[in-house]
Amino acid sequence: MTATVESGRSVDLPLLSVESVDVHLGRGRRAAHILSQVDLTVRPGEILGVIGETGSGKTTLARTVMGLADPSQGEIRLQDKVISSLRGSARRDLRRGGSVQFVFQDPLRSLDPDLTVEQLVAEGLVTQGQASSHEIATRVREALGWVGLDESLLSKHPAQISGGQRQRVSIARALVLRPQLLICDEPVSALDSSNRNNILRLLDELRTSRGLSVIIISHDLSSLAGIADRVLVLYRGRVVEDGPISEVFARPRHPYTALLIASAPALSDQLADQRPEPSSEQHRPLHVRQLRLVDADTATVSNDLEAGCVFRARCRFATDVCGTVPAAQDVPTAHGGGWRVSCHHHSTWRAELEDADRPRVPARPEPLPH
Amino acid sequence: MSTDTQLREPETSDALRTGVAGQRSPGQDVLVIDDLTVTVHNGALEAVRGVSLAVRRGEVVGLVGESGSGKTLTCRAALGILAPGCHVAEGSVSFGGQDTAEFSNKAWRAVRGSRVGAVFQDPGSYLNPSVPVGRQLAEALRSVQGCSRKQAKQRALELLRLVGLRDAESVYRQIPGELSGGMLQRVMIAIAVSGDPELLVADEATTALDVTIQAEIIELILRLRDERGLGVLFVSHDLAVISELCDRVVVFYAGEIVEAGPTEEILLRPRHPYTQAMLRVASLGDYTRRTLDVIEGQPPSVGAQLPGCRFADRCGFATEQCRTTPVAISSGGGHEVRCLRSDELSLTRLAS
Repeated sequence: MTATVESGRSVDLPLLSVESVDVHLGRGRRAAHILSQVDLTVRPGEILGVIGETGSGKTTLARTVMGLADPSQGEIRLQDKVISSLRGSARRDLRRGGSVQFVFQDPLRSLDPDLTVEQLVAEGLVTQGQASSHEIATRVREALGWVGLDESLLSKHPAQISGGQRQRVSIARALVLRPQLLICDEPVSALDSSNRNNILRLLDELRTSRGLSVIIISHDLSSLAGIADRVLVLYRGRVVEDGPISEVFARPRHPYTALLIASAPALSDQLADQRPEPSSEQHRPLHVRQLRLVDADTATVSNDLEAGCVFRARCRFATDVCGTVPAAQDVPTAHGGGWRVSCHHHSTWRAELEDADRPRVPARPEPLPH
Repeated sequence: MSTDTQLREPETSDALRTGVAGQRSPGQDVLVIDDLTVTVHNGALEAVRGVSLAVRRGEVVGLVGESGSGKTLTCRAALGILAPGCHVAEGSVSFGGQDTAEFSNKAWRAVRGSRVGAVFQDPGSYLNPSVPVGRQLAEALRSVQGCSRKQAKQRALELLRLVGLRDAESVYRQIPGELSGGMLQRVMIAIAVSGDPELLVADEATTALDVTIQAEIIELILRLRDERGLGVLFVSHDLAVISELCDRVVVFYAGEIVEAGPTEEILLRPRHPYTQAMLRVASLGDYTRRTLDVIEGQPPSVGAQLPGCRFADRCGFATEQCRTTPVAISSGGGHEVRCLRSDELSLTRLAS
């Protein structure tokens, strides 16, 4: 389970901590408030999954950690060093040092098509300008070995290798700098299931063998549940839930997390019945129609992150109190590491559903009323 | 909703013709692809070989398989939009009984507007970022349908409402950057169905969307299927989406159809080892920590000439005969499979 975290090494020392970070993009009247009061920690060897819809700020969060966007408030620390306030050459040195590395979604677009695999993987080392060419060649081969790629690919161009291999090259390119933290923005969404699992397994192996911490941004909840230790749920720039992934997915405390899980495509009822019975700590899954507010119109929601709960316009359980921003509240967890949820009704909304004697839900959504 | 509406069982099994997935009375078929072979690199390699399938009115047919298995090429061939260097070498594609091989460019344009619509993965990249989406939709109506400006706007607003955009008036005036991915995909679907087509080709149309939006798009497609009798050719590598949306599934492997049949049949009683392996590795709503399975090995390279089964090298059940004997697709009760051993193997989706 969370063995790498619980095994005792550096449990209390987070590798990365983001504290009360706000990010505004743009200036003056056009400035947009992208992230508000975001907190997160990543421990050594931990995999943190970040989920949320388009525009929820996942990528901005990753870019802020990378130093590609500046927080307007709050602090980001790597080990005990504040990295969010670095400027000029100090920031450049941090970037070139390679302790935090980024893997992009689409390797075909993020890898230069004119370079060979060897040149691509070596690029970061060449930019650092410290290693000799012999050393670079050795480290490139070493990094390829970590991601399970054969040396025969060294002279190939991105277009000549498969999608899964390309994503491995992207990862090797990051690993060659021996990072402590790898941030992967949708690393598998361009891949089919088998290749997807292959890459996720690789990330899982790397955190075990190299103590690498990984942040995975993904909208594939089920794959994420297979390898991540913790999950952070973003909605419109705020963290709505943050906790151990197994517990959060088994019993989400925020209505948005519950809606996400209920919306994830699953097999129909007959097929699901063939699965082993859920254990007693799991709960009967909720149906998307129990959670969706039918006449929510997302087009007209204000963009003011300070004007109450960000999810209230789509929330079935919203009341007047949701006009104020809910504070993050701690929820007891079996695995440690903390579980926080930002919802005024986090302890009561589920009871509203479970009280009702509901019929067995159909596998398929009914046509929308029109 | 009960299960009987989910699956359209074949009325008579003898109406099935070997090689054509579930083909029935021809009047009902909106798209028939017969023995299609597509070559790439100017004829050097066969990337799609002998593909036959049909989409009926009011039916969602899913194409599933790995990247590079030929799903998208098949769709593009069906739409007559193969990239330069790719050609239909053999076989035919017909809409409502008309063979598209005889279509002139003009005829194709007429067909694409009115009989078939298409939606792709990334809605943002198909729209002009600086023109209000309503105007782009109205433009399609004016050029294809010959509507007047006023009619076009009226009709565009109706279409935006049809695809579930409640505040159609304001969406009409917004540029793509102001809309979410799900709303853009709805606009794309509105454009695709603007000519009231019989067929919608959706190539990875929900892959880039968030799950809550994806669930809404799936509902929208099902509603269009039920209300307008739209036939849909839906390409995805996500089996869970396929299982929610499709009436029938066609499984591609390395350029060929390896299995085809009603969705429930395929998912519950897969008969091809590849389908079974695919079901094993798919993450189908399992939220527990687990070892993520993979299918070992790589598919054969595009266009590789192999004497026997193309999956044999990765198959746990392969025999020497599998590698050397060409295997034809066989049909039984509407469930087609391309495997020498399909009768002796009893596969289930949970066995490994």
